[in-house]
Amino acid sequence: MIIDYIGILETMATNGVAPAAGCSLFGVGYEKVFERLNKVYLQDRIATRGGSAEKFVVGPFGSGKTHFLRQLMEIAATQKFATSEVSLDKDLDYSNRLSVYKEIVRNLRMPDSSGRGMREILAACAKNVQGMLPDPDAAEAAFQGWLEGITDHDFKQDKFARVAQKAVRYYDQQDQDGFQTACQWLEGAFDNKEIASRLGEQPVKGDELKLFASQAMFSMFQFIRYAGFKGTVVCFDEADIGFQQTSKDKIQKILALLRADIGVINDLTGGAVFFVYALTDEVVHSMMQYMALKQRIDSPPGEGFMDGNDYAALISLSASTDREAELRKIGHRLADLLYDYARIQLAVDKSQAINKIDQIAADIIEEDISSSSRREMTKRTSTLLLNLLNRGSLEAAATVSPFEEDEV
Amino acid sequence: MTLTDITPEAIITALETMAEYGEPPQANTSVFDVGSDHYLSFFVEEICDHLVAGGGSTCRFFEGPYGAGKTHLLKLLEERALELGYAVVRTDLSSDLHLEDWKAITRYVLKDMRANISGEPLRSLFNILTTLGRQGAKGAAQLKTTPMPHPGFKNAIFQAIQQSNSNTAKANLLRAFLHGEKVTAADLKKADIFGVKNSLNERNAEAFIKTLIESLNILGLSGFMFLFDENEKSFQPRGGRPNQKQLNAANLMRHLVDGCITGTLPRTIVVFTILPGFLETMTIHYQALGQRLAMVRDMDINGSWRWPVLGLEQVNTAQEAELFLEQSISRLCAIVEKCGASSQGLADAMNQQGTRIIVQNAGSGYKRDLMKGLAVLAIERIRGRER
Repeated sequence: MIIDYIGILETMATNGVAPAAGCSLFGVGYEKVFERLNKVYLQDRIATRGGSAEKFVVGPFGSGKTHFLRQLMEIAATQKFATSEVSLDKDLDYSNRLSVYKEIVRNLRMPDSSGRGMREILAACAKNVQGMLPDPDAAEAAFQGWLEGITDHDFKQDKFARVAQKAVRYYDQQDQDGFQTACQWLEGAFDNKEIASRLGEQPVKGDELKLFASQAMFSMFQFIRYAGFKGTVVCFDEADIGFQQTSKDKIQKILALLRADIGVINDLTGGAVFFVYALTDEVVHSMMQYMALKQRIDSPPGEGFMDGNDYAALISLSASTDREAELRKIGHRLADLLYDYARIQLAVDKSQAINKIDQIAADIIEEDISSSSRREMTKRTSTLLLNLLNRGSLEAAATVSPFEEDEV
Repeated sequence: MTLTDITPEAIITALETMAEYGEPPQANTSVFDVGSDHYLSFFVEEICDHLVAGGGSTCRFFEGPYGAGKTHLLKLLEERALELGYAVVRTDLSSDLHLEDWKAITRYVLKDMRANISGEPLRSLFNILTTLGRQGAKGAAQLKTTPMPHPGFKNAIFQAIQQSNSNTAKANLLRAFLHGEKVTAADLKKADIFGVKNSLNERNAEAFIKTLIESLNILGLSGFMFLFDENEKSFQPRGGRPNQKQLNAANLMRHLVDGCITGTLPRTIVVFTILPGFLETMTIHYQALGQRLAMVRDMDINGSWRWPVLGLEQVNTAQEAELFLEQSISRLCAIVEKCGASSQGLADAMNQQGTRIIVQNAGSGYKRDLMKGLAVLAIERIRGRER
């Protein structure tokens, strides 16, 4: 475990980026925000009532958006939510629903599972249903009843439901070929004639694909809920890159899709999905020029999420009033974990490390790095702590002059 | 649905949706409506019970800026129509579904149409037909012998009613055909399906729609309602002239208007919501539609509800913002009480918040922002978490 921790520190020391796992260990400053999101959305709206929701996390580069998303997903995962992190970088065209669907599926992790993707989703769903009752015979009967009922359930896309049913049947019967074929279709090969034919379905035609992919995506979330999981959290990171396309038409398309999604989420029954986007202020500004979207996601002044309105769509990460205190807190948290977690005797007393960390925070404020101060604090503190761990010193290696020599 | 029918849990879900986006979910629209009662009564009585029941049809346009309540009105109409036994399809004219593509519209209609059959809410043509069949569809014999614009589609409808098991290969093929997918003659023959041919394509899409409406009439549905929600200036040309897609869309709208007027689309109600500027654009660039919808734009004349084009403000009795606010507060306080919380002092807080929002939105659609602000106060009161 200590090795994982060091790996996390190294990642943060190098890039100042959030680690892939363990963000909950280091998260600072948004405890109340997560408490509210957990209570109002994860537990109440989604898990208890099967509803869906959407939020936009807004902040400049380096303000901790990625960390925020990952911490939210970790919180959700511990509560038996499926999660998927999608990077909307320049290689993924957000206006192409099929590409987005494929990426969500590819990155989707089920609770208590290390794997990702459609095979894992289906296997986890089957096992979850089969494991609901202690008596094997009753469990089997319940499972068969659940399987039979898939096509009677009101999924957004009937075809998705039929193929998912076939897929789970193949899985249960250990028909590898059949399972493979069904998974290929469910992963997004909707227009493949051969695969469709093997499944007894018609291939989806080109002009229908985008709409179909959209409906398949929501059907998948409904399916996960139908299999007894709490719901799904999908986080879209780097949306600022993905949304800032060169073509005005494409930007309009993306904004229209965001607006349309709100309508679908509003009326979706049993979808239990939480969409969270990470955006910069510039992207939000573009969104606010699009009236149909602005009307839906904007909040009156004084009624923002950070003002206490749980239902405001935009969560601003740049609203901290005492930045230095926040930076010190980040550094102290990292130090706490090293000193409390490490089982080796560290060469330097914790209070000395804390003093150094406080100095780092003050330096960053003075340098006025502003928007990326959290990232800078993470980087410098992680470097400091790694130095301490590796060299037993709070000083950086470069401060030792290469020309100092003992006199012969 | 009325306040007596709705559970506190559903109220909270609806309030949350309103607090987030300014509109309630489809299932509870009428519970939260303010000021539309009279227009809806007129719509039901004059249009549904007299015009459409007598075999007539109509095409209506409602104009309003963003946030004025266009989507809300469509949802109210949808709710009423379902209660009256109509088949309904509401379409969001997003970039994924363009009005100029009549085949895509038809396919969407076939898969996403909704109806309440003996109180059971159903979606898709196949599900509606199989449920009608299970309940002993009256009119099946008449359907079989009535000539229709698309005989192959009619035969598929008839055979779907006969299906007792919706999970067989035959049922799956019928479903595919009925939902506008391409099905080969060989596949149909293999499944012992006869008389079903000519899958949906660009040329026969209109015949599909006409056959659908006539068949559903025979099978006992009251009528058909198409609701088109324009949210993105789909019809607004950028840079002067409309492009070919927009002209095609206008042409199809003209088709729908003519279809309703001439009776080629019987027992049909078509409703469009449009943004300001659309009519003026059509008058200039596509006169075939513009002239059909021409109206006197005189500030002194209030549109009669019988006019085909109406502003949103003309169908709501709470036309003045202050009156709308007052009635909204009254409605929401009743809803808070229904959830077991006290509304004491809430009206004043809502009035203050609401007035501020109306002032901030002066000159534009204020209703969405207003409902957001009021819904937040209502939920916080119900949950005992006022700030």
